[in-house]
Amino acid sequence: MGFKEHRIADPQTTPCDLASYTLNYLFHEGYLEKDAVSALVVVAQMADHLTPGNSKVIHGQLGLPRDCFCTDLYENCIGFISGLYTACSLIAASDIEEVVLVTTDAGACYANKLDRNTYPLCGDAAAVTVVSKSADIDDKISFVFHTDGSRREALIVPAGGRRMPYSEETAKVFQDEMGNYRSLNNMHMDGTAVFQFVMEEVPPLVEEACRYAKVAKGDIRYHLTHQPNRFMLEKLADLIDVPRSILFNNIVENFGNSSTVTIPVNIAFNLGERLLTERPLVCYSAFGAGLSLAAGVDRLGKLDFCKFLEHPGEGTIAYTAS
Amino acid sequence: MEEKVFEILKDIQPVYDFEEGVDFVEMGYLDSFDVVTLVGELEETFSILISALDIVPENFSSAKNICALIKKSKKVPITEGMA
Repeated sequence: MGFKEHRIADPQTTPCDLASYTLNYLFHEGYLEKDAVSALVVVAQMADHLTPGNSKVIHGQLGLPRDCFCTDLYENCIGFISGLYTACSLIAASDIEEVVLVTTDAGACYANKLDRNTYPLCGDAAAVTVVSKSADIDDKISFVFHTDGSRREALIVPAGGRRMPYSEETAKVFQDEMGNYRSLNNMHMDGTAVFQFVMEEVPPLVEEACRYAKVAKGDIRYHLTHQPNRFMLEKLADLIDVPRSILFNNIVENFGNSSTVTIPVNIAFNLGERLLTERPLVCYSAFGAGLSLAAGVDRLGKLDFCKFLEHPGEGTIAYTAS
Repeated sequence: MEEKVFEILKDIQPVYDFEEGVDFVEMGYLDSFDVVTLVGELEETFSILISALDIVPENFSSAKNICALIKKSKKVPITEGMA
C-alpha cells in the first residue's frame, strides 16, 4: 500500500485551529489582507461545534470583516472540488471577486487503531486556496460531479448523527467479518466495494471532464487526484491510460489521507515550486463517501504562494515568525 | 504455479490453511488489505500486470481462480507500468 507516516493533529487542535493558523500566516506574510476577505467557504467533515459552523468559528477566531460572506460545506473526499465549484459559482453569480476556500480535516479520531483498513490511512491537514476572478473570460474550470447514494453504506460512520445517536451500545467494539475491531462510532469502509467503484467510475469521469472542457486527455499535464493509497492510484493511472508519473500517488505514505485536503496537499507537495512560474493543464479528480465522484479541468499556476506550513500543535492559531 | 501461489498466501496469512479448499474471501482468510498485498506479490513473482478491473473477490476465492487470473494477466516486466 505504501505507508511511511501520517500526520494526526493532537487532541487540542481542531479543524478550525489548523485553518486559522494558516490564514494568520498568510495575513502576516502579506499574501492576504484580512480586511479585504469578502467570502469564506469552509469545507470539512469534522466540525469544531455542531452549531455554529466552522466558517463562523474561523471568522470569530480571526476577526474577519462583518460583511464577509461565510458558509460551510459538509463534505468528504470530493470536498476540495466541491469547494472550488462553490467558490467559482459565487464569483460567477455575484460581485464577489475573491473567495477564500478553506478545506480542513482533523478527523483521524474517526478511525479505530485496531482497524487496519482505515487507521493507517488517516491524516489531518488544512489548506487555504484563494480563488480570484479572472479578467480572461475563457479562464474557467470545467467541473463534473456524479453521486450514487444507493452505495452510501460502503464508506460510512454509522453512529453519531440523528439516525443513530452515540450511545453505550454504539461504542461497543466488535470484530467485523474481516477480523478488524471497530465500533459503530468508527469509520467503516468496504474496501472491495470502494475499489471497484473507483476503478469502474473514475476513468470515464475523467474522459467526460476532458470532453466537457474540450481538451484531449493527452493534453492533461498532471492528474491531481484524491489520495486513498498508492496501490489504488497506480491501478487507476493504468486504467485511465496515463503514465503513473503524472498521476501522483505519494501523499498517503507521507501525510495520510486528509479527506477534503488531499488534493491541495498533493499540489503543494508535488508541484509547489513549479506552480509559481508555470501554468499546466491539470485534471482534478476525487471519489469517496456518498459514494460520490468529482472532476475538474483547470489551467493551474502562476500562483503567488504554494507551500507547506507545519502546525505547532496545542490548538495554536496565532502565527509568530521564527 | 499453484504451489507458488500457496506459498505466497501462507506468507500473507500464516494462520490459515489455504489448502482446505474453502472460499478464501468469503471465509475471511483474505480481506481487501490482503488482496492488495497478494496482487503486489503475484505481479512481482510472475512478472504480470493485473488489471484493476480483475481485482474482484471471485478471482481471489481459490488457488485455482488465482492461477487463472495469473494466466490471463498481461505478461510484462514489472517496471512497465511504472512509466
